[in-house]
Amino acid sequence: MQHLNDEELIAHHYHDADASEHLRACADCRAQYDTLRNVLALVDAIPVPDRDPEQVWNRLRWRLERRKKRTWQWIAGGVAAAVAIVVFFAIKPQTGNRQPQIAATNTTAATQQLSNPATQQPNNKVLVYVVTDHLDAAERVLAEVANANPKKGFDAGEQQKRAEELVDANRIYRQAASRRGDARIASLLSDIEPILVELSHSGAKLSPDELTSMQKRIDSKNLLFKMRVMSAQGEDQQQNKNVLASQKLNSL
Amino acid sequence: MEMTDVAAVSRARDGDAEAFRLLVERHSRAIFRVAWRMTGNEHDADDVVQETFLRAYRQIDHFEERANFSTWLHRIAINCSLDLLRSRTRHDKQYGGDIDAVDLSSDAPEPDRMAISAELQQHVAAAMKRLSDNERTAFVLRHFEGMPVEEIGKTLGIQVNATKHTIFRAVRKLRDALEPFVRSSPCNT
Repeated sequence: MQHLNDEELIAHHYHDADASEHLRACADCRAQYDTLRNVLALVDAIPVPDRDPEQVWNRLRWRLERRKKRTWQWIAGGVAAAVAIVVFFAIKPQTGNRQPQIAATNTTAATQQLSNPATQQPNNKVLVYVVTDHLDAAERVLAEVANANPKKGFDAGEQQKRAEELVDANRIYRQAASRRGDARIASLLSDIEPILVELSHSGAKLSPDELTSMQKRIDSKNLLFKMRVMSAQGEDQQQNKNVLASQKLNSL
Repeated sequence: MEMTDVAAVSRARDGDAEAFRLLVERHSRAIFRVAWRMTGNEHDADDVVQETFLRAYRQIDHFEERANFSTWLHRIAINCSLDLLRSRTRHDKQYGGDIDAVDLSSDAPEPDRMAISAELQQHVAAAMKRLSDNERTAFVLRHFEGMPVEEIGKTLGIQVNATKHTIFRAVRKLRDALEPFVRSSPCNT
């Protein structure tokens, strides 16, 4: 009797072929098949870590809200751009003797915007907007460290990689904030930087002591909260910017 | 009465966050399981779960109501896992390169599964680590997800025969590595 080969046994196991008859008659193949089944049962027996669905949702909800806000920002930006194009083409055929007048009007409007304290966009506000994405990314890394269970230590491989990527950007933004005199952003970025540096130089695993120390530093300065506030301000400013752009276009 | 997936999807399409929350809470455990098995890493699996639901949220208008939401979601999760695996270097692709870093020692084993020793878990982890990305993916999809060979082939972008051989190779590697342990294992019953 010709014995079943590995492929036939595996195909039988996954019901891609039927070797039942042969297995009933052949003790050798039955023994081979039993070994295969036991090996696969061993793989099945590995416990899968569990995740609390509520925690999954809490993390996701935050990202969905951010996505929603950004979508509206893009839509607002897109609408403003579309209006600009329409206005441009509507005006273009009549540009002959009106162009200087329009140019003069725009210059006056821009000057008024710049000189009007209510609408002026200081450099530091622009900076807040620019660092928003950076703060989001850094916040995600620090939140994962802050929420880890100190009793178990922490597999920080992924966070270490992300921290490495963020350190340089953090330094550049901090220097820019200092140069522009925005002490609040500079101070927040200064607080974040040593933690990012430490994380980027840490081993793949943080011991319970290392993790607790890092969590205390994050917690003592209330960093996560400050980062969220700063990010929210950045987004609000972008929205205001879009509104301002729309108002400006409407005034044309 | 509990809201069906189809009803929840319909509400989520209309912007009902609570309906989407219901879908997340109902399916996130299963999605995490497949992501963890494909990536072999808890943190990667967490990222895959997040990305899966974000993609599902973005594409929820494309979901056909006659289809099974769980199947659709699993398909997204598999693609997210493959994207993640493909974006890594070979070293990173396979369970982080360090057997100690493999998340196979859970504090909360599923009660319906056989308890196996931590040492044995490490051997299984090592055996899984030796599989290539394609082998591990094909094996997970066939063995745990029960996906037909043809569909696995489409997912991996390879022919049916090549898919079969990939699964065979994966199972053979696992058998060769774990055969010495099955005789002394409680699984050998």
